Order: sequence, then structure tokens, then C-alpha cells
Amino acid sequence: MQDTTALLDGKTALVTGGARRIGARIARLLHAEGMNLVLHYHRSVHEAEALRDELEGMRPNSVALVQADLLDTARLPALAESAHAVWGRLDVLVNNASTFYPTPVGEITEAVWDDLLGTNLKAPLFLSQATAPLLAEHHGCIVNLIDIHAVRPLKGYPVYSAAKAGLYMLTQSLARELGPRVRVNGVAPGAILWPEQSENAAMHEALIERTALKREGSPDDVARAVLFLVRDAGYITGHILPVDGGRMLSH
Amino acid sequence: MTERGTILITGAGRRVGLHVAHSLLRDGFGVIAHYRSESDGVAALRAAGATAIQADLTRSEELRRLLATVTGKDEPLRGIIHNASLFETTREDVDEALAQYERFVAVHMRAPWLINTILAPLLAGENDDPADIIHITDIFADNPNPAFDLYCSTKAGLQNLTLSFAKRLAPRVKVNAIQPGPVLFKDTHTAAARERVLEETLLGREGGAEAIYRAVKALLDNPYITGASLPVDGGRRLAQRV
Repeated sequence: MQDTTALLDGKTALVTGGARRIGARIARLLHAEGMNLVLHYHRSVHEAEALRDELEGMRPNSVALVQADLLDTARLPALAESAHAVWGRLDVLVNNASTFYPTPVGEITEAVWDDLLGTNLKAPLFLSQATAPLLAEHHGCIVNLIDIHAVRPLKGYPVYSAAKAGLYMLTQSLARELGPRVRVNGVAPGAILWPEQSENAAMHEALIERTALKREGSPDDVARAVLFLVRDAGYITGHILPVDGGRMLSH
Repeated sequence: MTERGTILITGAGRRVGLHVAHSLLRDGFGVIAHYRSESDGVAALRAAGATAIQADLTRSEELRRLLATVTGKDEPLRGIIHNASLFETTREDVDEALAQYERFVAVHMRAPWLINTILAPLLAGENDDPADIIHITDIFADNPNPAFDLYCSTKAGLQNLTLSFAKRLAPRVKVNAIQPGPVLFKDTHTAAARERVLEETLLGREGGAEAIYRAVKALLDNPYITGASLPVDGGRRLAQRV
């Protein structure tokens, strides 16, 4: 007895923020499954080109790059159309692009609000809206990269935490709006890749100590969860899967 | 023992459990299949290479015998899947309902607790490659149907045990729950009932046993997920109006 999930060979995924870090790992895994990729990047042009060249070396004509500032909402419908146009179909949207930095109360400006809400909530909504009819053509799906801090606030990051909480609800809401033709799910990573800005080692250790599995996760763990939601979760929609080593257990 | 390790699954004699057991064998796992009643399904599992063990989990002595058989093999386990389940509306007669409650507690809570507790030392997990326990609960564990209150409350107990065992057995063992929705209707479901249930989902169809197996496989394959609940319900829990 097989359900309706099919192999991914020849299908197309649009991955935002796909040039680096977790986005790049997701892109690699979907590509390894035979998918064609439209990789969105904002500033990481060198990383994006290097990743495209590497993946095209394995399979020619399988990766297209698209540069965009996702805060430019008016551009998003064109971004969706152009992603669809490359191979004439769009099956998967991965909303991965994100900004992340502290916003101590007392110093919050409208500019950081617009930026953090813009990348983590507004862009995923408008990109989902623009791609939904295209995804519906082939029973496609959306996967949003959320964060365990969507449900447990990260100290010092109220704006980021609220933006991810918005994306959490948007995932459930859009599952309701776009079903049954389009499934919408999320992955909520815990401590996966330590931010590049140097932070102190003691904080890092304390965080690992609060994680039930007593270690940091890898981008592979997140990418595998995304692949599951895309390929093997034909009966799952509106769910946010934590990939956090059990950190939610510690609170 | 097989290369991928051996998994104990309860309630493997029919329906979803039978499908999961066969799929595990196909994917290279060894399988110890618990069942309650002999059936063609059990015979087929044996023929496919599973070790089949009969036990009525509501009877302590049979549960103990099951555990003795597994520990007697003295082999490491890759995982345990608690799938055995009793699904019935609550009886109207209070005495009958109380007897029914004892059976639900025994199968949905007492047996999983004892099996996990006794077999935990056999679970072959390491820090970077943890073993697995998977509790098959129900979306009704979070949002009960009052006509099934006894069933739902004991599934909620199993859902809660997921978190205790996830804490207790970390970091060597991951413990997660899968919450099925309308995956496989029973013969007793009328056409009208089926239609009503499917209208309450977002995907508008029955999930099938394979949907559960894919969720099982995803949890086995991901070393960084523990203490999680994975609803496989076609979005039913979100479609219910509030």
C-alpha cells in the first residue's frame, strides 16, 4: 500500500536563502534526490555560484540562481513566476531565508521590526501566496524553517521570537487555506549551527547542557526533516516538526 | 541479528502494526512482532523472518512472559514501537466501563511503561547514534472525543509517558510519539461516518498504513528528534472548528 507521495526526480524546488548554511544543506539533499533547484540568494553571490557550479557538475541544467531582496514584496510574484518558468513547474517552496539578531527592549526600532518581521514572516506569506497556484498544479508543498523560539521566547530576541511565532501560526493557517492541493509544514530547529557572530563558549556549553541529547544538531538533521516533509509526509499538513535534540523537554 | 538492528513492535498482527512490521523487514531490520491473536498476518510475518510472540497485554503474567522471551534472547534492540491499541467507545454500563478502563490502561500505559523500563538496558543506543522508542498515540490524546473518553485519556497517558521516557533515557535513546488521525478505517465505520471524518481533514482522504510507516522511518533515520509528537492526520486536528 503506497500513499500518494511520489519520487522527487524531475520536480522543482525553490529554496530561499539557499546559498549558505542550513539552506545550502537542504538544497544539496533535495538535489541529490533528483530535484531541480531554483536557489534564491540575497547577498551571498559567491557562495550561490559555487554551489550551483558544484551541483551542475554532478547534473547539468539542474540549478538556477535568482537574486532578490525578499523585503521587496512587490517583486515576489515575479520571483515565483520566474522560478516556475525555468523548468515549467514548481513543486516545493522552502522558506528558509531569515535574519536573526538581538533586539533588547528599549532599543527596538521600527527598522529592525520591519527587517525581522519582513524576512521571517512577511516574505514567507507573500511568497506562499504567489506560489500557491503554481504548487497546486502538481500537489506541491511548502516547508517553513521556523525555530523552537517560536513557542519559547529567546531572551534578548523578542522581535525575532515574535516573527517566528507568526510564521508558526502562518504554517497552520496556510495548511488550512491551501489544502487539500498544497500541504504546508514547518521544521523547528534547536541548536544546529552556532551563529557566525562569535558568542561565548560558556553560553554554548550551557545550551548543550539543556539539550536532552547533549550535543549540537547538524544541518543534515534539519535537511532530512525537510526531505521527510516533502517526500514522505503526504498525509501530514499544518505540522511543525521540532529538530531540537529534545531541548523543548528541558523547560 | 540483522545489520540494521532489531525492532520490537507490539500489536503487529493486523492493520497498521502488520504493515509497519513487514516494511521494517523489507528495509533490513530484524523484527520481534508481538501479537494478541493468531492470524494469517502473523503467519506471513513469521514466514518473512519475524520472531512472533503472542501475549494478551492486559494480563500481567503474559506481559512478563513476553519480556522474559525478549530479554532471554540477550540481543541488543534498535528500537521499540508501541502500536498495540484498543479503540472502543466507552460502554454505557458503568461496571463494564470500569473493566474497559482497566484494559485500556493496561494496553496503552502499563505495558509500554513496563516494556520500556525493563528493555531500556537492551536498547543499543549511543550518544551520536541513539536508539528509538516510538509511541503510537492519537490526535485524540490532545483533543478528546467524549464518546471515547476512556480511550482518549489513556492515549493521553501514553502521550505524556513519551516525554518522561524522552527525559529519562536521553541521550542514549530518542523517544517520540506518532499521533494518527483517520489512517485506516475499521470495517465497522459506516460510509456516512467515513465521509464525516474525511470532511474534517484538510487533505480529504484516508492516510493509509504506509503514512505511519514513513513517519516511523523518518524518526528512526533522524538522530536529533526526541520528545516530539508527529501527527499523521491529514490536518484533522487543525480542521476542527473552535
